[in-house]
Amino acid sequence: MNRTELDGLVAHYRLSPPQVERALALAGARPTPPETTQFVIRALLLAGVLSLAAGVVFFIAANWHELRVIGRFVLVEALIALSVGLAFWRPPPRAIGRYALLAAFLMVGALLALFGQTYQTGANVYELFLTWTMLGLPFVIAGQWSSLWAAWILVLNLALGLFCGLRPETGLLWALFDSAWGAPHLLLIATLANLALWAVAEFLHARAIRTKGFAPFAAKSLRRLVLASAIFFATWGGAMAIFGFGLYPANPGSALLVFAALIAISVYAWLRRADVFPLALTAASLILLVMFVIIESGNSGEAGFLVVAFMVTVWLILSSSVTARVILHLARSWDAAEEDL
Amino acid sequence: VNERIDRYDLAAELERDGVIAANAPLLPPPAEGRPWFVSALQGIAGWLAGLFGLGFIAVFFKLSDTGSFAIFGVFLLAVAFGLYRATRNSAFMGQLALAASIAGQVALTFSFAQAAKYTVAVPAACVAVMQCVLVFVMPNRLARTLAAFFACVAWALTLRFAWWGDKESWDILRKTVSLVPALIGWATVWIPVAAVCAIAILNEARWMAQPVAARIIRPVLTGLLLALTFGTFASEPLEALEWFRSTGSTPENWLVLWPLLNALLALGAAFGAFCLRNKALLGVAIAAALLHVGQFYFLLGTTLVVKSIIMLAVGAVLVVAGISLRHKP
Repeated sequence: MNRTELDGLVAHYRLSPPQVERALALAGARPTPPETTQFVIRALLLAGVLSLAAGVVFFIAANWHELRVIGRFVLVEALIALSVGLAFWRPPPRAIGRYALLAAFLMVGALLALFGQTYQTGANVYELFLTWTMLGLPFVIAGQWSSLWAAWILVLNLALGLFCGLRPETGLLWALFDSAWGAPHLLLIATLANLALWAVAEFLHARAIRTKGFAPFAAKSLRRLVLASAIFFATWGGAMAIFGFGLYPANPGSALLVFAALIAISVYAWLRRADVFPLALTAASLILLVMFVIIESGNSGEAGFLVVAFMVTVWLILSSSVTARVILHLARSWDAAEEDL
Repeated sequence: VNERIDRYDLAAELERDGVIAANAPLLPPPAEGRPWFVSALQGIAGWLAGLFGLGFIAVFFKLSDTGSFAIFGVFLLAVAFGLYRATRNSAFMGQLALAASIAGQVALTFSFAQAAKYTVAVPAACVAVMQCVLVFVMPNRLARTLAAFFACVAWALTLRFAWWGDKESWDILRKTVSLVPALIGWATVWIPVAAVCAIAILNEARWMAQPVAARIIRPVLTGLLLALTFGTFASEPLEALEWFRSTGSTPENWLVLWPLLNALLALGAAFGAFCLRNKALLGVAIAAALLHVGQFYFLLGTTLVVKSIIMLAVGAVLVVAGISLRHKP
């Protein structure tokens, strides 16, 4: 029951303020004092750990000459050792262990940045993030915490974005590809990587429900995050395929591949009838890409602009209203079916 | 909110408690609630449609002067109002109304900017007033949320440009701004917004009991909380890009603290979202806080060593506060 429904109920029965208080309490619409305290403690600790880690990263980036290179390495490595030690002392799922492993994961990134800054390895930035993803994975697995997984997913997607979107044509990963791979195709690889993670998360979620267990990587917010990342890369690739980019001209074949991938995700989500979020995301992506197609296919000049502006306006209004209607209908019917079960 | 209890269960519980009479009229079918991502999709699509629609109108009718933009702006807002009033349950008409409303607002903004010539503060103030009027006039939740959000953004721009001027905008970080004006400027813009949110959350039961007030305050509260997360980026619209053209050293400028203060404000908005059990807004607030810290890294005005010390001090205070609260009996 959400706030809109509560407002409707209060208005219907013309409740007085004390009666509204009672309704809010019965509906659990207000956090209890213990819940509030727990939230504040978690928020303070999480924000504190992130601030401390950011402070260390800023300090490394400052390249402060008063502290010699060996001192900087000792500082970061000592922080990693301290964090891991804390995690051993109070292992996850205890809060201290989790926060310590989050700090250790962030310090791994700082250590890699310091290494690159000091020795000028010539490595591309995507390699830093990719190495961070791999070296930090043991801490993330040990942390058993969805927030830690969220950080890992963000770092992985930064690496994928830098490699697939900017196409640096260098580094270890590039050995698997050649110059025939344009950015739209590489971005589809990033899409597939995230879809694979989504599949793993969905599998773990189903298993956790079956065994009544706990799977931190399968939290709803994380499943949505990896799917959103997949759709983001698909949309980015589609836009590049439609408009063309740098040396690579517009490529209708790649654009069709992106459309096919998005439609496949929609069909899968439709058949699963579990969550309307994937449908909303793919619909948003398709709306945007079709808009790009309209813009790209328009003629130049004032008349061409008028046609494009009119068609885009009509398309956006029509497609978004139809999408909203369909998704709300599906959400209601799927919820009703779940209640019947 | 307890997701297991539905509105009929709650009505039954209230009846058992004697809050509502046993013979009270039955609840009508629920109003169409929509998930946050559907609202976001409609909002963004409506915005884009409004911009393209205005582009079409401006070229087709060859709008160029202040008066014509103002007339079309008012006309489009009147059309949006009429569509919202006439067709409350039509998704298509709702989107058409949103697009007309956005096109009207942008057209009026153009006319304010043209009339004010080389200043930003005056048109920004006019936009803030326009958005405040729209909050009360537009009979639609999404329109009210957007109006509240943009009212805060326009208010932030008004004060920013009124205080530190237009001509120096791109060079503000190359001038010295001391700590006190930087803090007062930030607090003048954002503390009233945060205070309004806090008052609204604390008095939720009181205004919920007045349906007319609830229809306005509920979407406005969402818009204000959103402004505390991402609207705060408007506080330093130009300085955020300054690092692109950074050459040489810059003088000490405490406007650099604003992103960090905005991150704290985003955490405050996260607490507000938690009190309202709004998970989507909570996620938005956390993402905004992280982005503000990223912006703090890039802004010029002080050295990275100083920024590092600030972050370490803030982190230590937060961790100590968290631990002491945890051990409090």
